[in-house]
Amino acid sequence: MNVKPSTRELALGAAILTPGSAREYHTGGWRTFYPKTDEALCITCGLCWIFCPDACRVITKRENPIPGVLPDYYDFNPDYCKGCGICAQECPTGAIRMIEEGAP
Amino acid sequence: MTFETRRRIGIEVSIAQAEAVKLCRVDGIAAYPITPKRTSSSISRKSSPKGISTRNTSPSNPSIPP
Amino acid sequence: MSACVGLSATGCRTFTATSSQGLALMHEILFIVSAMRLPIVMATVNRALSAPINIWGDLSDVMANRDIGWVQLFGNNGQEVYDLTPCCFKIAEDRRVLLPVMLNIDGFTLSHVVEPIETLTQQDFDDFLPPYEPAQRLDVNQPISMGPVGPPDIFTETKKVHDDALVASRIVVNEVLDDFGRRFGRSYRAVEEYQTDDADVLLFTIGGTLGETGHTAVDALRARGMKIGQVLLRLWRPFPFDDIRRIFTGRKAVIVYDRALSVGGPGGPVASELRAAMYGRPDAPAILSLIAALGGRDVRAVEMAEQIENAVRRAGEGEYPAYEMVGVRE
Repeated sequence: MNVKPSTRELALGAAILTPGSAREYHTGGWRTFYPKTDEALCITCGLCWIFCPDACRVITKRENPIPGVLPDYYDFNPDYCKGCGICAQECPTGAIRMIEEGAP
Repeated sequence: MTFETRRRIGIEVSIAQAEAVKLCRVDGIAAYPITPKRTSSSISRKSSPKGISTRNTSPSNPSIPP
Repeated sequence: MSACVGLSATGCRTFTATSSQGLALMHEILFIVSAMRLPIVMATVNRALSAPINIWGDLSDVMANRDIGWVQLFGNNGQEVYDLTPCCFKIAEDRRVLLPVMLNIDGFTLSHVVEPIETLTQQDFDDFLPPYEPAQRLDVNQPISMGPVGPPDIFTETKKVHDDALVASRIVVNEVLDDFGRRFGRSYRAVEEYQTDDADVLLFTIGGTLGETGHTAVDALRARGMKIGQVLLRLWRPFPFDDIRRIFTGRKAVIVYDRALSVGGPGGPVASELRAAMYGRPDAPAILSLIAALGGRDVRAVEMAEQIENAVRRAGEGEYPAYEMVGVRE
């Protein structure tokens, strides 16, 4: 839900009129900090993927892959990552830092 | 107790209100089981176990016997 | 009340009645009904809340439910209760309102007395109250979710919508009461006045028991030469600030009788609302809050007249407490 409804746009009694619309509701909007992965430090161990409570760690292609060794790294899914910071806490190489949304 | 014409009657206020509710053609009333002491036996039998009587299950609307 | 939520959500015209502990027990659901905009009508027979166990009349139950977001009306005698019942449905179901309506009736002294009632016919009711057409309802062919989660990013907006709707329902309340008066010759208003035209002192009451006893007290005091009138509050929510300010501005004193006590707070709930309405306004009257008739205790008109005289005298001397419980043995 990128555009938040105004008082005039809410349905009567805040009812949900479209079935299955929960699919369109992205809990990533609750996030204050997002986890930024430093590609160079990520060893693709997958610990962040194991620990993530929202299954938001996703395999992503490297911009500069190391052929045959490390083609991918773990990034976050912005739609559902709530910014809990567990991945940053657990990362053994310190590749993940929590950055405030909208920070310069 | 529904009359063809308007008239003046002596009646307990709680019963007068129940009568007014009946005339409003309500579809459903939720009532605590001890409340309908004056409900006719036919309506009591047809009431659902949770005490909800609806127009569909009771031919004459709830609460007050004729 | 949860059963009523289900009934109403499926598009049924729904009614229930409760009282005292029963109202307290359903407190949680009352907010849900109004925020979900279900036009349920409920009669609340006002009685005291325990402890000590007390089944008799006062307004503790409704006053603990001021902020549930319902339209709250008071019927002061049997005829009013009968007449206001269809009005409640008409207000609740109006597309500009779509809020539950509570009709308050004084316990025992009104609910369980036999009174002469002018009845109306089924045709009268049908002409006045059209068949219920729900604005939205649960329907397997057009599925919707009612009462979902409202996270922090929309909750404030839902409260604003609710508040706007309740405040705006004032207009519909007046329209419906006027419509009833035109059709059947019995007119009701959000705030009723009795002998107020030339009054310096006003008695302000809510509920039938103090209201009708108050009439007798006012008549007695008028016979003794006091320029007193009475104001009866019929519409408790939305609180009719404009009427209240129009009526009370420029009077010398107001004696407010409350049948409930905000323990450890500002005293009587009605008095505290009146003070909020009049605060900081020029020509605001002295407001004296008296608490009486709790838990079914009778207040006779002679006692009321004495209490009013006493309060007015003390107001003249400028010495009166924020509130006072009258008729209490100390």
